[in-house]
Amino acid sequence: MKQPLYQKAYRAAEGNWRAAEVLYAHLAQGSWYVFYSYGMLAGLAMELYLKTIIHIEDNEYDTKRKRKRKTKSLAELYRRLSQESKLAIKDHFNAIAQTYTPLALPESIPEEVRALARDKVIMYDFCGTLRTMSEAFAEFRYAFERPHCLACVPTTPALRDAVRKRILDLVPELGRHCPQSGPG
Amino acid sequence: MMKHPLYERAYDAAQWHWRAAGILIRHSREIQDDTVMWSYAVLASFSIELYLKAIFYIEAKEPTPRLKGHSLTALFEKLRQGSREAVRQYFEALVPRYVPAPSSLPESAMAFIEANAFTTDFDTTLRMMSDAFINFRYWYQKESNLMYPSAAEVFRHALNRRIVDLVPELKSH
Repeated sequence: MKQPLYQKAYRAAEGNWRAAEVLYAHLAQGSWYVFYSYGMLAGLAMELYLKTIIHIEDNEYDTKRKRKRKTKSLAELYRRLSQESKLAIKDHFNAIAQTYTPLALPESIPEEVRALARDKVIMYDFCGTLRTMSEAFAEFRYAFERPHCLACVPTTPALRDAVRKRILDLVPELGRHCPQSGPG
Repeated sequence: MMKHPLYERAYDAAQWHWRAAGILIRHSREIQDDTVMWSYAVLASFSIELYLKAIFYIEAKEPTPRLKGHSLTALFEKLRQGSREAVRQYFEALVPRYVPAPSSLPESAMAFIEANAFTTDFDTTLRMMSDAFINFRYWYQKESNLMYPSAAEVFRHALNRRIVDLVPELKSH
């Protein structure tokens, strides 16, 4: 049976987030070179989580309309959610963000990379996290061309958990699909 | 990072993404977790895009307009003839020694990499890789099976060799 688009989008988001977590474990152990890949995949996962909610809420979101509404900006995707989803995500983020340990860059990261991460003003509130992470997928990808754009946002996992919780509130059975989020 | 020439920064980024992709595939093998295989394909194909851009920037000399677009076929066509021929020759020399991905990969991951896409031909590999970055990041919107060629790693080796031919000091990176 054909899977609904939101289900496939959710599996894709979960897979990319899982991959970002695997890379983060290596980052934390000193493999600083995975920093860019980690940021890229975390940004892509966030984009797909938000698109999952759009697919759930907007049954008209098909491939034709997708072309007109194509965006990777997390801030723009968030604006497209229903008012209820926006409030739910923000409330959950505010409830959990303080409990997250800020992401600390490992000592092994070269000073030039560390300095770039510091250059960016890091905001810890909801709007700051969303705005700073908004273009992460592109910014981490092209950091070698435009390093001034690099951002490292410690509250990204809180944003991910808030968006994911909203998805599972809307479609609880998606929680049972987690182990199958790969290509199989 | 800005102190270094653009080709060097592109090359370093290519190497980092390739190594990150390697971490994902090792993770997949070790704990039989195929959830990360799409991300592996995204990173590996983006890495190959950056190797091609590095060659372009080496040959173009700076300053040069930033290359846009992810099509590997289009990027390959932008390289000078000497580089295109060298990459092809390296690929064809390496392919006979290439061993397909070990069967320790999860079954679904093996199907993902090989069943669709076992080839040792240069043009087929390039064509199959060409839009991989775009296709694999949004795989969930695709109706048909996606193909990731089994010789992608050989292609990457061929590009890497060409880069080191052009700028030998990059070998130490």
